Amino acid sequence: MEINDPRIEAYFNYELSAEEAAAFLEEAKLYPEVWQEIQFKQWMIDGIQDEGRIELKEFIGNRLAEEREESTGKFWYAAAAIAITLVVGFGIAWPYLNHTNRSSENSMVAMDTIYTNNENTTRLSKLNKANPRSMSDSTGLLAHQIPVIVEGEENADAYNSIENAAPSDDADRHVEIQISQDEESKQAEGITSAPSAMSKTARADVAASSKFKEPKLLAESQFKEELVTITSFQVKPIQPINYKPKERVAGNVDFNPDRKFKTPAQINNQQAQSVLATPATMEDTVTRKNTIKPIVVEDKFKIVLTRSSSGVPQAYTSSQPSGQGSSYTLILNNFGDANALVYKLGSAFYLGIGNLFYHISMNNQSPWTPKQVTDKSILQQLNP
Amino acid sequence: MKQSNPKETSILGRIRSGDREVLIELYKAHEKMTIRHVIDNSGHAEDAQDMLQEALVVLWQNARKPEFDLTVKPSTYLNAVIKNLWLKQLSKRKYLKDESYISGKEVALNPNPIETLDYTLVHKALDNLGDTCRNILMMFYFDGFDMKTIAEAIGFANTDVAKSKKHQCMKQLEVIIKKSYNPLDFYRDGN
Repeated sequence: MEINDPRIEAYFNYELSAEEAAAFLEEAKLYPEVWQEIQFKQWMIDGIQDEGRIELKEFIGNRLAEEREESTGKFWYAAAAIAITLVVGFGIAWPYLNHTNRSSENSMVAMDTIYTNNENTTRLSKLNKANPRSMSDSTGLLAHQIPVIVEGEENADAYNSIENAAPSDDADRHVEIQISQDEESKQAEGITSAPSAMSKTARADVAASSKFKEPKLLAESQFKEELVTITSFQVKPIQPINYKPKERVAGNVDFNPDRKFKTPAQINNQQAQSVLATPATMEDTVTRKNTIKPIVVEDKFKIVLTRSSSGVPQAYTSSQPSGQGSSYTLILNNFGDANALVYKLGSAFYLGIGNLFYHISMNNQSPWTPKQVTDKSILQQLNP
Repeated sequence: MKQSNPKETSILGRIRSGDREVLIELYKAHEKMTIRHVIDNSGHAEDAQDMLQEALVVLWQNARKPEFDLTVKPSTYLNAVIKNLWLKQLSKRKYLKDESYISGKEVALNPNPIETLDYTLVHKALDNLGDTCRNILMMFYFDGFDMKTIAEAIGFANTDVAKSKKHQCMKQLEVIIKKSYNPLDFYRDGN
């Protein structure tokens, strides 16, 4: 066999049958030069096939990479489109959102200090100093609810935010605080003329909201009537506080002993919050941080409102000593679902529901039927 | 013999007609299965992707053979190929890992030495060929197209022209390689 044997070309062109190819290879092995040529050509062909495999794998890999890149590009394109839409949308909506946020912020401040339902317990709890459960336990009615007591220096926040909330005409949001004897004496020393009417009937009303937002709470009630709201709060004489609305939102407002009081006429002509204090500067706040706070008499109140479809309005008051003041639990049955307010004029307490005012009997342990307030002078002070 | 369903026939037909896109479709359809198999058998996702590409190349090359018929589902076929390739790969890894302790007998049992040949020389020579020659050789020896198909694809007048051109290209490749390298380096004893 010679190196230019046509069978070699035929073999590598796959033109030989299987039998012919096998016979050809057996014969070629007998001729080293031919066999070497065949081996060399086979190596070249194997190399071509190897190149083909590499190329095909590259093709698969590249195509998949292209598709992934394309899908990634589509993803980023979509993400960019969404981002642009959001930015544009946010830009358009910003004035409205900003307005909404401010409203929300204000109402949150008010909520911190006034509205006391279970949802707000966490926020409100920062205002607690007394143990509100002690009262709950004594009545045995409030085991599953957490009342909130507003007291101490942090009441300043309460006053401030109440003051902020007052212009919204929500009667249950305003607070008027009794002027203590200490304050009266300070006023008498010449800071300003103390309002005589106010000093005698200085009142401390703390608004108690009764929002009915908790259907779950109602279902869990063990009462025959439907338990609506428990509100715990504290009434105390008016105390001077620094007054700077924007700073008050952030809290930490100290007492301002230099506060000037207004006359009853001024009080009657203005909204309740304007009575609380005169504006103080930041310097006031700083320099008076360590001022000794006046001792005040405190009364803690907790209201339990129940609601039923029928029945005569009836109330129940329980009280017990609590530090310098007293703790009261007021249970109101069949008073409807209007917000309940408690006012203190002198030593008397009054209940305000809607536009009606009632005397609160402090007769412990026995139910009482509400008696409406008819005295115009009292009504004028309760609802100036 | 089991009758192939139209879909499988279609896959085989598309491969035989040189439609490479079918490989992409098969890859996507079998990627998860392959990854699961390889990961369950001491491998990684990258190994699985490599194995699947290898299996598709094997399918591509086998589909060229006239006697080849896809009598099972493509997934079954690919799964079998992948299993074999992965077992082979694992053996190779084990061999490489234990290389320093390998006995003479194991060396003698080493798989076909041709697999260990370096084809870099051929690859370089192919790169030095003209595009037409390269395409002819690749289409004939790798893709397995017959001369008629190659003639039509390249634009030759007939199969004889294509056959003649292929012969010239093979000679040209040989010349390029022999110019730089001694063919004796690649001689294998047939005994």
